[in-house]
Amino acid sequence: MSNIVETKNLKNFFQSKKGTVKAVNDVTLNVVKGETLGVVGESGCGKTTLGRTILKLIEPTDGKIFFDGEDITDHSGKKMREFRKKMNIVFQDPVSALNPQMTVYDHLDRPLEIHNMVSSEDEKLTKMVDILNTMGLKAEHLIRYPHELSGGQKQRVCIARALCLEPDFLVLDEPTSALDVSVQSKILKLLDRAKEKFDVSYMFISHNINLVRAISDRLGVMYLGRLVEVGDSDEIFENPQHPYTKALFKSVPQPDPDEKVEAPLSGQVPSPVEPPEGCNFAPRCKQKIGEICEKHDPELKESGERKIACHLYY
Amino acid sequence: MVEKVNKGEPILKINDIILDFSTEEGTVKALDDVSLTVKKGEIHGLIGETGCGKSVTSLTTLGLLDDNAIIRGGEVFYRGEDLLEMSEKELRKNVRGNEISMIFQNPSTSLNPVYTAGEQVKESIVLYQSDDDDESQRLVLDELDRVKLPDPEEVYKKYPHELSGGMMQRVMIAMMLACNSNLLIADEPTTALDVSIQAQFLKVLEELKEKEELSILYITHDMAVISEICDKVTVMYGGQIAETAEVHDIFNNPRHPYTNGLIHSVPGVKKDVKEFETIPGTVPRLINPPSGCRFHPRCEYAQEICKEERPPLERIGKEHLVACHFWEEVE
Repeated sequence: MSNIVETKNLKNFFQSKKGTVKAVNDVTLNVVKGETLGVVGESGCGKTTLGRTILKLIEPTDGKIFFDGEDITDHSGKKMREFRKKMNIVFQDPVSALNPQMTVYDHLDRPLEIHNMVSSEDEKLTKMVDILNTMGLKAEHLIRYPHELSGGQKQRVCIARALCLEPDFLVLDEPTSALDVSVQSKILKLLDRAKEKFDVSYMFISHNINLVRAISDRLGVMYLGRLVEVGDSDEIFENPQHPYTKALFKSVPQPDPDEKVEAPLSGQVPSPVEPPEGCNFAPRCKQKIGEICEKHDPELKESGERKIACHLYY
Repeated sequence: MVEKVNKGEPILKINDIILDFSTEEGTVKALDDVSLTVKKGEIHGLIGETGCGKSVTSLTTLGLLDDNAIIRGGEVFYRGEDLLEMSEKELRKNVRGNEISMIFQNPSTSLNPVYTAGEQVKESIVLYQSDDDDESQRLVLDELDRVKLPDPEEVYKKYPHELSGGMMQRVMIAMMLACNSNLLIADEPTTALDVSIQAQFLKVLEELKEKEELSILYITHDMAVISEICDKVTVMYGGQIAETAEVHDIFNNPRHPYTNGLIHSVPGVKKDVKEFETIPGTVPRLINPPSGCRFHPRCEYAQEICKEERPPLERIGKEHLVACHFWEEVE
């Protein structure tokens, strides 16, 4: 299987008054065509910045981004325009992602016109209705304004807008975090259906670990700008290896009164400004093996079927 | 508050509250015959989706409703006294703070940004415990320690923006403890927090329940958190109580179709999106709510009677109450 997206040693650093924020630090990953790559991590771990950098919504500081085999790292804004059609993003908050003065029709019309996707008004309408149906909405929703839609419906419009250009790759950045549980599961099912229908690959970013588990084929765990574990989603959930992944999973409450969480992670994520020397996780790690963890930053290396950045597994 | 309440006895009893909001668009029937009981030393989960009335229920308890709220009936007994009969002055003097405290979803909007965490906790200490400067300062440090904040002396001097969400939420709890409250109402307190911080925070609440017999009404839409810390659970739908039971019964033997649907739509029960079940339709608007059982338009068990007659909240077990005509058939 070939990759739709690939990054090599991708870095994104920001300058702040306090120093350099290493938001994305040396991330090498790939998204295989047709799969969903889940990305989990706590706030400030860089998962959102990673998603946006891959789409070149933010210019990377260093490293390479490949889309369908082509190096797009240095593509200018103008050259990126043809790629915009093929790669898109859905944001967390559908309220701020939609223009309150525009109808659903307008929201879908813009991208279709800009990218010359349709040749006639009839074709356009057919396309719009088809995409709305896929997202569980009806033709009558075309004339609605955002305030006339529920939160879940708004998010479905956002997804429809992203899908109407028939992209190959979508970044879904916490697409259900602002929604109720029963609506969350509905959106997730629709996304799964749309993936098969439009043959699109997803990068699903979320801090809701149960949700990511349900939708991902492969999983990447991020901590302080770094990818610490990548591999088959089910296998990582069955048998997490990186000490951070283990601790993170233990913190997640399960909807079962007989299963209780532990609070294995004391303290909080350190600031990404001038992160600790050596392994970023060392100060909170219970399986630290000594000086090496404090002095040397572990690289993401293959360990069987998956990749882990931890000295324990070298 | 004269009545002494022992562990396991009801501390808060909300009986048959009917509440409307008058709005420009019409009358919103926000609460329709809502009853629930919180016992001393228990964590009682109140779960439901946006707009189901869970927050309104808690605001009614504290008399914090907006002016357009009209209470049409019911009573709220706290330690034997009806809070709805009390004046604003009495509530402020005798109830809010020293008896019942509330924490909200976003702690950064509840704390004052221009005072340090310690100063804000001290305010509660001075009001309710001691106005001696040295002693109150020492008591503040005790409270910060009680909520497991690392290095209380450092935290004392920090401004809210220097603390993480989880630490701020713990400062809020410390303020509550400083008032010696007996009942905590927590409205989605961990929604803004990361899982690792949430886990730490939940441990603090459980410990307070165990050691100090604190009673907690925990409002959330997160089934997983409910299963984690609650002893009892009340499920609300469209301004009505759907079901109340012990946490194991809610998860292992749900009798209301809505409870059942909620549990099966939670990621974590089913590990793959392909197996997810969803509840058809959307939450009703309460300006013109469905007749009879408000859940009937979305319910797979609904029959004619559900449209016409509202099912009573029936006791089907020692602690298990359900409002459904067909509770015996739900599976």
